[in-house]
Amino acid sequence: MSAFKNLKTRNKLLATFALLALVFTVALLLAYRNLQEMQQSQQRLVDEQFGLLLHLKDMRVDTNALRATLVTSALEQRMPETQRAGLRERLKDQTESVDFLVRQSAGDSRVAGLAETYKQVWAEFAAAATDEILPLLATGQYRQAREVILGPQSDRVERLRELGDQIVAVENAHIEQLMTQNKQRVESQRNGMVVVFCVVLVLMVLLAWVMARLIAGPLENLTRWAHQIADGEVSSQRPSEARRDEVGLLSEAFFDMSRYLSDLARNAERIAEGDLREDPEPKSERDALGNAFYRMVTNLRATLQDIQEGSMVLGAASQEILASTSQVVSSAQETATSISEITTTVEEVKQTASVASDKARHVNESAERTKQVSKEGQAAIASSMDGMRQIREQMHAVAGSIVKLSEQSQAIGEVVATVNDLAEQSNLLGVNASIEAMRSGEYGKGFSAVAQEVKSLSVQSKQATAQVRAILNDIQNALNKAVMLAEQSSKAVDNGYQQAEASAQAILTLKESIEESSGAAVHIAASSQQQLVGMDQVATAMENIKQASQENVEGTQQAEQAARNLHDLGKRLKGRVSQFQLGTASELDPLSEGRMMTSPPVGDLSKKV
Amino acid sequence: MSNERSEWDWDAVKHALRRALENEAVGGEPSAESAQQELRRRARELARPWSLEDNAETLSLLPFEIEGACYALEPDYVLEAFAAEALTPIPCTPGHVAGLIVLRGRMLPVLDLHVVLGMASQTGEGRRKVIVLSDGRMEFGLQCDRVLGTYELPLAQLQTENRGHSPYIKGITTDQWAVLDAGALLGDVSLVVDRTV
Repeated sequence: MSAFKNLKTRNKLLATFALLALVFTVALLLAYRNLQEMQQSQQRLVDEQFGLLLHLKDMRVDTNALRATLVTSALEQRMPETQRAGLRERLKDQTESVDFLVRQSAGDSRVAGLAETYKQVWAEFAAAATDEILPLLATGQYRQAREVILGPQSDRVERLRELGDQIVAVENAHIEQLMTQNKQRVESQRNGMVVVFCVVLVLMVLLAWVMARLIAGPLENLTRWAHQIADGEVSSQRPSEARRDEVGLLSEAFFDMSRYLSDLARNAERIAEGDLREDPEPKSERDALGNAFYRMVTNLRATLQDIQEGSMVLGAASQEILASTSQVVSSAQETATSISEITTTVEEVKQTASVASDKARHVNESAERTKQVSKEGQAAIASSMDGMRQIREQMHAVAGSIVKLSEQSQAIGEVVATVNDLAEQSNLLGVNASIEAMRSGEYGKGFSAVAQEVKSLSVQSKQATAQVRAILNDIQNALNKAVMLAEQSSKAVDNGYQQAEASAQAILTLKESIEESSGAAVHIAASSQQQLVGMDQVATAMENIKQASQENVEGTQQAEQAARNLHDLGKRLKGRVSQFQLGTASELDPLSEGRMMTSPPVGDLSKKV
Repeated sequence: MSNERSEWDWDAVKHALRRALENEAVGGEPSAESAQQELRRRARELARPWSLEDNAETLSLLPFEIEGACYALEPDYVLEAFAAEALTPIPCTPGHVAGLIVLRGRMLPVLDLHVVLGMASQTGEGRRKVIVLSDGRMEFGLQCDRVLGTYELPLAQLQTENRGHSPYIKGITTDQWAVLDAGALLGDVSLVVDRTV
């Protein structure tokens, strides 16, 4: 089988076709031979059996015709010479035919005896015809001839007819037998052909299956493999079966292609993992993918180096930008806060200015009124000066009275003290009198009542003096207060008078000041109105500035966010680039080495960042 | 100030002053109405019947006050009461001797009753009344703030029980007067000061 496998497919196909052709040829030859046998058998049948029968039939017809001619001649009683010669000729032919029959049937024992008999009878018939009848006829003895003809000669004919019938019956039986034999043979031939064709069919199917198995199966596998490769599934597994035919070679080729592709895939994988240290070697100058990979790796390495440097620069720059924008953001926020505060302050100032304007207007009006009032005040202070003068005089009078009253109350106090002393003494007197009365017993009882009354009076007078003294005390306290008040009032009135004079002067001065300030108030009102308008403008401007600073803050925040994003991007980029290993680049690319030399070392930059 | 002044009813003040001046002109006599009232009051007081005298035995007492506390003496040993002008303190004497006083040419020792009764005493200053006690042999004065006069106490109102441990107190009245035993005071030799310095 392996030998067959190792055959080239062309040879395999040729061998298969040759085998099939051989089998077909053998089958056809077999069939042809059978057909020929059949044909020969049929021919033999026709030639031998049917020829004999026809011959026999011809002979019987000729015999009958001869007899008929003889009979006719005998009956017509004329027999020309030419007719007789023809008869003799015909008899002679008939005899040859009988001989032929005998010869023909010599091989067949059943017919041979009958044919022999038929020949003898015919020989008798011919002899009779030639030797008896014809001379009779020739001599004109027609009646005798007729007798001979209708006599023995007719028996002989009858005999011949019977023999012929027997021969026909035997031959028919023989033919029947041969036909049956032929039929059986055809049957067996047909069965043999069917068997042969079945065998051939099975063989063909078997061969087709084997061929399909040997060629189409591996091709299907290879097709599947090719589909897998087309789908990107590359496996460098060597096919298990080693064959040297086209399928085997195709498998080998597929294996080589797969290995090539998986090498490429491995290279691509390595590149994807960032290992750019090795260059993929192209297999030849025509290796499009290999060359492309090589160029790709070199370009990628150069690009990555550029990106690396760029990402360093970007990282540093974005860091600085981030720091700056952070500062800017904080500054902008501080500015915004300050501006907001300023805006608030300006708003407050504006409010204040508005209030001040109102106040100024109010002050202006007040100043007008004050001017009026100060005029009235001037008049009033003149009259109040008069009043003050009167008050001073009256106050002096009141103070004099109070002083006199104080002196008199002191005199009253002395009198009351005397009365109190008297009452005390009379009380003791009463007590002593009552003691004496008690000691006097019954006789002193009346005196005791008197003494009691005296004592009671003294007590009452003492109480009265106590009341008087209390009242006097109050009076004296009041007077003391009054004196003090009078003194103070007197001084106060004096001071008041002087102050009134001073205030008159002051009011006069005030009036002048008020007139001045009224003028000033008008100016202030006008100025504060202008100030208010100015403050309004300032407030609007501040509001605009505030909004702008707010937007500024938002902008800087966005800028900061952008810087942060940029920074992140730089970091990410750096991280991505650092995943690539570019170790052998400098050895491979002198240009990049030069660039690397000029750019600062990676570590330093990253530290700086 | 001006408000207060303005509230004053000057007319009322003037009227009162005028009336006072009129009274003065009459001669210091009270008005007829007030005099009538006073007289009626006194009449009612005098008209009150002296029922105790008839029904019950009474005890004559001379009540006086020291620092708000009320004491009473039986007038039997009392000579007189007078207002002391000046009390001369005697050096080197026990605390109950308040000092000496001259009464109508006689030297009279004056005792501080609170010290005698063993109570804490304030200074005798201001106690200007002196009650003079005597049983014929012994004679001294008792300082007091006020002499209330004589009083007739029904004996039923004098409680001799619960009079305390002091030997000089005879009993307590229902008005919480401590009735002193003047005889015991006068006869107590412990009060006599006989000392040479």
